[in-house]
Amino acid sequence: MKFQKIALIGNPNTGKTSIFNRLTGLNQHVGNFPGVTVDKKSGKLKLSETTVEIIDLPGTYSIYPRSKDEQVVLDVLKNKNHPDHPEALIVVVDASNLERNLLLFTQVYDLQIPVMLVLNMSDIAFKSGKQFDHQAFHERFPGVPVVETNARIGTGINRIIENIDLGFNAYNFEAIIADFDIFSSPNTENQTDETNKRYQFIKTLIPKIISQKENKKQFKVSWLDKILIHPFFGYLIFAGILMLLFQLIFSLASYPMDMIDGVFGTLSEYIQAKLPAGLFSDLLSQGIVPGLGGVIIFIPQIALLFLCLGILEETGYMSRVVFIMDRLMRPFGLNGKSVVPLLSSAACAIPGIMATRTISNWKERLITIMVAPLMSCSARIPVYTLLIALVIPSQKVLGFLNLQGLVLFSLYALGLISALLVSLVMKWLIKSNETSILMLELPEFKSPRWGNVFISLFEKVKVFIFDAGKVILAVSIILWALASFGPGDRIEKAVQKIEKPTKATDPQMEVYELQIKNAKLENSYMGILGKTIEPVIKPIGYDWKIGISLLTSFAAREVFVGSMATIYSVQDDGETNLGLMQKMRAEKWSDGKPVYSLATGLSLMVFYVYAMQCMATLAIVKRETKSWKWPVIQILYMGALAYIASFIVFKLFS
Amino acid sequence: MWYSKLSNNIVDLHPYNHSKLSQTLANTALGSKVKVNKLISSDISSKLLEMGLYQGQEVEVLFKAPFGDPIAVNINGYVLSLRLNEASLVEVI
Repeated sequence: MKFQKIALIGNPNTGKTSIFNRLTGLNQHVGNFPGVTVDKKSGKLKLSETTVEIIDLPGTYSIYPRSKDEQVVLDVLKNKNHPDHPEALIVVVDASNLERNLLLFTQVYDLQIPVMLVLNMSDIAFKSGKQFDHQAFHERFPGVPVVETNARIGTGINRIIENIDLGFNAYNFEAIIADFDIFSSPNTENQTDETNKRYQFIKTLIPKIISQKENKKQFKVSWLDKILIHPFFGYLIFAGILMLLFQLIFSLASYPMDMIDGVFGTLSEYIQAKLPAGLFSDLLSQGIVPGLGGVIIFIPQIALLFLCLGILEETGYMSRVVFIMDRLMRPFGLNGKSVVPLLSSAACAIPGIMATRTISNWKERLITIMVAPLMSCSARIPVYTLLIALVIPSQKVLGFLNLQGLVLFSLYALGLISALLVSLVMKWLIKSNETSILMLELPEFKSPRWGNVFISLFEKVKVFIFDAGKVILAVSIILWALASFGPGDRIEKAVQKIEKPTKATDPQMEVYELQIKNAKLENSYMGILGKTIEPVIKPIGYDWKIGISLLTSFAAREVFVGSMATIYSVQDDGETNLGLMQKMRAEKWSDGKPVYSLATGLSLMVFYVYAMQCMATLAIVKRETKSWKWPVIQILYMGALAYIASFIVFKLFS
Repeated sequence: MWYSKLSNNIVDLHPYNHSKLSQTLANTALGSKVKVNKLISSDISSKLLEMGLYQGQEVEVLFKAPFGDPIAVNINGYVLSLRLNEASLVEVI
């Protein structure tokens, strides 16, 4: 019998993913299990004659589900008509912890699906003369192949492949629990009864299959654990590692990001120059190419962050962070696993939201996703910098604090505090009958398996480009269309009104071109929309010019600066923005008061703390929650918060 | 230390706390080795069981997080971390 579909199943931290990576390499695909938010990881294994699909089921301790992730495992296994129902299973167990790991094996065996047992890390577990008695195992489980592996260095993988190629099936089947019926969902009491019986079976089995009596080893708490969970040094080290991580991301990511920016900018110009002027050239050079650039530009940050997170995860440090942070996060409806995604969002919410997948409790994961964009990300920095330089005087407070720095710090703090407070509210609003639990293995400290780190990084980037990329591209094209077209011949008329300089000397031509750019934007649908919403945004201190920039910067927050430059017909120099600031300072309301007062400036800053001005985040929230419901709720609640907070700030300071 | 006091208060206030009636994993002293006597019935009993906390299993309390919660225990050579309210469902002797 040749298998076409095989699933890997096993406890977390058994090296199951390493084995999956060894079997499929980069031949992996992330898809969906129908109807649930859990990703389905599958890959192709080429055999001599056929190709087998290998599915990596989410790690689980038992086939009885406790979370949505684990529900998938049960659904796939019990329903023979499920599109992902495997013809055979490979149970991966950690050979150093057979007792607990074999529980899942006995359950799977009783399902009567052909099964193979993989004893991972057996070389380490069975050293000092201990051995696995294959003969004795086969007497109890005839037809179940057993393979000893070390997935870290790749030993034993060939034996797994050989067995898949040959095919396997248990014979002389003798159930462990005779009346085991997975199809009727058992109540808790039956379930504990059954599990107890299985443990009794395992306890009599282990002395038979392990040749040497296990001598109870003295467990020593490692010195690393003593430091890493220390009430003072533990947090200090965590803060230090975070600081290092941000330094790395901010210092390294900017190089490839600037390069990507440059390449796509040049490409746009090139297309515009080479193609005959017209709609198609504009669509390509101003809609599609910048849209693609807007997707690609995130890759350095995502890749760097997941490289760091992957290393922390692989070494076992991440579970220690969860351990020391859990108690602090619980009051907010979050758990220890929310910490790293939230803090990552201070660099960029996209990888932060993608990192929430480790949170198995759906409600806690959802809350983390919903509040992550409130953390001030790097895209807000250009907006904050411009506005702070514009309205906050550079002076000292209390003799040593720089006022501008203090405002910037307050904006970051406001984001963090708001994220926690909103979590608290959502804890009450979102209903769930899933008990919050945090039973988590603290694995031994190990050096990272680089293969796993890079494959997972690669997968995250792929998911972002192909799943979120579509939405980002679509939204960019819509935004481009809104900013390029206007009703009737309004744009042409406005452009014609601008006087073309007679002498084609450079400085004047430049001014002329900037004026045209401005006229086009002002008279486009986007411009008209910006003017239309002025009555709505006037109470929070904004004129229609800010209105237009708010709308265009839905693409990404930093677009605000570029839009303002276009509106004020100045070159966006991307650095000091001195020209832009000069124009903005001179801007007056009809009654002669300056538009950019302290109140308006602060109100705008607060608006950018709260508003969901990022289509890429929107796209990734849709990808991770597998529905439009949550991103829409997110946009609305963040928008409402932004408006209310800006209104209060504006009133307080004017 | 100051934070261990805080954690004791948390245990006392916890609804699952059965410390007056019996010893549970939640009020077992650091470093002591105990045996699981029984699991107090709850919706997470089967989960505790799956993690290896069956009757007769030897457990050693290894260390506690700052604020005393969660705790880390050694079960048969692997380290499990669990919250105090989860640990308080494990009666030990």
